[in-house]
Amino acid sequence: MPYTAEISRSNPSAFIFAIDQSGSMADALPGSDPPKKKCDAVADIVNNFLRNLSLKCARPEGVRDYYYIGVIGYGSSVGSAYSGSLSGQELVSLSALAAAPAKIEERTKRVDDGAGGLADHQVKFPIWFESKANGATPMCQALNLAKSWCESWLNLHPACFPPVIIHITDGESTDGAVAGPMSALTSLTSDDGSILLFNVHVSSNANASSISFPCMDSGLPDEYSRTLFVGASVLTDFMRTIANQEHQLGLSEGAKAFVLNGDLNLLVQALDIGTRASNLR
Amino acid sequence: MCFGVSAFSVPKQGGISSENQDAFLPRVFSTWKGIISARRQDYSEKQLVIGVADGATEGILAGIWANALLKAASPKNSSGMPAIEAIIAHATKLWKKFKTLKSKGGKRSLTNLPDWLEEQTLDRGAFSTLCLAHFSDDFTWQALAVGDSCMFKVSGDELNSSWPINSSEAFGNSPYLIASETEFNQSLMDQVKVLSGVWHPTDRFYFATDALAAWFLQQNQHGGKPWVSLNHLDAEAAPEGFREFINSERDSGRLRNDDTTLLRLEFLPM
Repeated sequence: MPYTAEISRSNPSAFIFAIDQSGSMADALPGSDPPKKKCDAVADIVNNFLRNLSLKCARPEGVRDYYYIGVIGYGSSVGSAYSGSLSGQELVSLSALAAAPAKIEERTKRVDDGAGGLADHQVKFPIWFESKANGATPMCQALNLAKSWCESWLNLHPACFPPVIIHITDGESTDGAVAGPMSALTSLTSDDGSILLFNVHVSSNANASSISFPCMDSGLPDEYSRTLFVGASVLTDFMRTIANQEHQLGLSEGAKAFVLNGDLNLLVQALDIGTRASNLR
Repeated sequence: MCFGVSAFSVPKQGGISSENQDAFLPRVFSTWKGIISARRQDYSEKQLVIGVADGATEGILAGIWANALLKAASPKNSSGMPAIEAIIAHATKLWKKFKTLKSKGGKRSLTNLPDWLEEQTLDRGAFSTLCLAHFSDDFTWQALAVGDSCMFKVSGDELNSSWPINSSEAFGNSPYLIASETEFNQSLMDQVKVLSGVWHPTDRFYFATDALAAWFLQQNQHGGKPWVSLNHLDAEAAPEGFREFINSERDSGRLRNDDTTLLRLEFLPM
């Protein structure tokens, strides 16, 4: 049965983020308060994900390497998007990530003050991945690079829970038809199933109708959105369980890992659904 | 009231005993080759508080918190079944004391984690289930539970009660947990389950953390009597038997690979 492999230190899995860093990512993302550029919101979400994953896998003796994580940025260039001492590295173990954020910022978080109001609370926010928005949208190159990383990973970890690729973009590929690279990526398999590709499209247009995790392409507005839909993987049973039980989405079997015109909330939701482990040991 | 308690606890396969985040009360264990903790101890008391707690995997020092909850409920700290509020208040004190004692010169040294991560993991705290029962020599018992650790009562050769979960399908990935940091316990009281009953000297009670509890119910749903296998385990003469039994069930796919704890309570002639 696919997608049941145990995720453990001896059989780790991987996440790869493929992040659009084209110039248009500097536009605002609806739903963000205070208003944020798409590139800043995505950087915060990815950094927060890495922080939470480190927390989740922290044990007194150290961070357990249940996962290896890579971040690909594509815009004016294509490659690993880590900053600081991890710059240029591909898939990095979680313990190595936790030990080497590029910097730690002080962020203000609004928390319940216990008296019906909100109070500002300073929290340390580690940064591994910097916001960037510049250049075109070489999506094919980025997905081909993700495929290359996955091939190397699968050679070393043939029995792993398949790597999950979270692809976040706001536009169309400028370096060719993307259907081929997507299909090539999701054709890779471990003993436990095919690579899982999430296509999360974000929009600056607050009036654009968002569509999340559809089963069919009938409501999609254009050929481009259909391409992202077709390229995206079908959600695993466990992902649908998380979507339905914790996000009350009411998804049916066949729902795809695809979001169109997502706002901040949908972006966070997609990441949560895509990165929960069903069998972490 | 005379009774015997047998306790067994093993870490998940691939783990070591110090990584086992389950806890149990009464703390009657001895360590056998660093892997299994088990021993039977017989008591003659007017009351018994017994139970298990399962420290959540996704939380640092969860085993310490699970033990703090049980220690707070022990008869040394209360007479009769303690209220959940009292247990948590006492356990929170123990938890804070532990954190303070382990901090040195303003620099925390509880873990081998990077400083930013240790600070945030300790701020987030630890989480645990709890399934606890108080037995009195007037033949009554009261129990409380939060989460998916379970108590089973077997009378004669029949499963009389399975609590707070009574179906193997009801075990999920997100049981309700008691947090060490009070801000995460805001809706806790809605999740506390209580039950009471009477015991007969021929009854047996079993307390199990979730993996074994789910196995127990699944076996029973298929017409089996899982307590028969558990009754054969001898904590004193053959403590390794529990580990072998658990590994065998894990290998067969019938038992989920998780930290696994069993308490068996039986009443003895006066």
